[in-house]
Amino acid sequence: MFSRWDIRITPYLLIAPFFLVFGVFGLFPLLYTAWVSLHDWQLADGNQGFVGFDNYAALLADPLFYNALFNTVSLFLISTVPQLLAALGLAALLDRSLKAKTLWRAGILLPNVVSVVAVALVFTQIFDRDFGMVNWLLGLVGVDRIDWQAGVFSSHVAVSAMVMWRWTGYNALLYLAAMQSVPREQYEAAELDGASRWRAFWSITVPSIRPTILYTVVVSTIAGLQLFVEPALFDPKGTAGVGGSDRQYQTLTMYLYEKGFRVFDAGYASAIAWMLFVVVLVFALANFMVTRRSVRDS
Amino acid sequence: MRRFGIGAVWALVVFNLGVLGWMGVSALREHTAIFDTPWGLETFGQIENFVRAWSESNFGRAALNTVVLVVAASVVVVVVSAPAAYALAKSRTRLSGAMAVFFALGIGIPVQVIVIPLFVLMQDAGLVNSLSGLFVLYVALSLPFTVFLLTGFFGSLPEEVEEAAEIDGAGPIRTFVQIVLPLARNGLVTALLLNLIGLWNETFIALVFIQDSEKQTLSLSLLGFLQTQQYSGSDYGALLAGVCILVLPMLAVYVWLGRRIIEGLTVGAVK
Repeated sequence: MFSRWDIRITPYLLIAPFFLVFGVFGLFPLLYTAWVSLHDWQLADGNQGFVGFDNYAALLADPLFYNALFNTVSLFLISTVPQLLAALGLAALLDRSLKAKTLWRAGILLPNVVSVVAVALVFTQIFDRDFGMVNWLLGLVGVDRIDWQAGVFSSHVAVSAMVMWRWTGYNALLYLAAMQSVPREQYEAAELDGASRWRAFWSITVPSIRPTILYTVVVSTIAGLQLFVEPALFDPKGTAGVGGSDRQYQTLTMYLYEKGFRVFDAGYASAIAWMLFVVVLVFALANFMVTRRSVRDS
Repeated sequence: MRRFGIGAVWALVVFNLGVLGWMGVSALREHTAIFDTPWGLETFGQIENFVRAWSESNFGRAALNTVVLVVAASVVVVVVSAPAAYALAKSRTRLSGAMAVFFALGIGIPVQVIVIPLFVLMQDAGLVNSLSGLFVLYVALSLPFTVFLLTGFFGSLPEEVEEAAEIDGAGPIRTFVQIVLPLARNGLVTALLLNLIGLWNETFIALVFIQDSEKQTLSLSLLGFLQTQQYSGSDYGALLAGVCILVLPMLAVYVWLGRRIIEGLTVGAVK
């Protein structure tokens, strides 16, 4: 009798500590953010009274919010879409053509263990207007120097380069691991039927690794919409800046940081946080659906 | 096609090493030389850069803080996650379905979204601007991913082992501690390593929650060093030396245990 009780109750006991910590530091703060966003709440002085949806109304009339929203979505698109396609191509190359696998994998994952702060500082130098390597290389083929920080699109490209450098190899490894469990006979059969490699890739490989593609799409979407350190450090003023002289690369997270921890308006910052959460949810769900529909099951 | 493929992968690996190599070389060069000849080797050998970075930005203290904080948090995360992940991997009840949703939520709630209430809560608890506060946050926020990762590992262990233990009269907790944990050692080590690297590089939470310079982590010291250079004139050599101090320990871990890390990254996600 005791041992049966023991068996039924043990799983709950084992999970309880996680549950507790996650409840306190995950679920509760999410709801609490909503609560704070309905108040005039100053970070130092605390709650100054209920204001209903005033913070949201102000936010929806705030051009800086739309600017940050645009930058966030733009940076996400420029960094994530090419990144996942490149990772897919890279994985296909590694899957079919290389020996000494561990060495290649190690070389490709390398950027992922480098601190974001370090990546941001080094890439800011690489994209420097006067002394950066990108402009030097462009100069070799006769292109004029680009002031990468100045433009909206150029700054987004530079920041996306940092994100891509850190994450392409990581995603490629996830794809590679999935590709290696695809039975080789399928490729042999396709080859006998006269299918090209290109064709085999799209009609055998990609459908077979569908769960992994869905996973990476969702995770990259969530991460790509929250960029902070890369764009913040691309600003010469660092985390004290606003993402460029005209906020041309200020993301929603940076705007949230500015309002919450430099202006100390916790209520307004919480409203930004909830909008960010909604944006993340909508994009994650939409990308999940689009990917699921376009990558058909095998 | 095949040759092109090898060429492309080669180019990428060379580029990755090149970026880090450039960083290492420039960290030993003098500021103006780095800008005059970004690819050159003039003035190479300036150890002073490292000395300057170390002494001017309080790196010594920060290094100590980071090592203690990151090691302690990683160990505690794995200790709390392992039982939960095991229960999830092995129980086929309604519970596990509901739990899966919970983890998806946990991984899906961005820290940035909940940082304001976390700050308010931690302020009320007197844990803002304190390393123990940062420790609590690091543990809490690393849990969902770690549980997710370890569930994959425990799920891949053969059932027969536990059945045998049960027949021998071992209770579930004893089975877990004495039989399952030793078998899952590789998975636990991988989870530990991934948390070490992730937390070592963490910047956003530390930036929000730590203000005093003697409580800074390495990432924050580097940011501070960058900020002081805004006023005192920039010295790119010393700055890159600071970057190296932050990056080299994790590169060393990677060179030493990279295989484990690569395996670990791929196990959790593929399922």
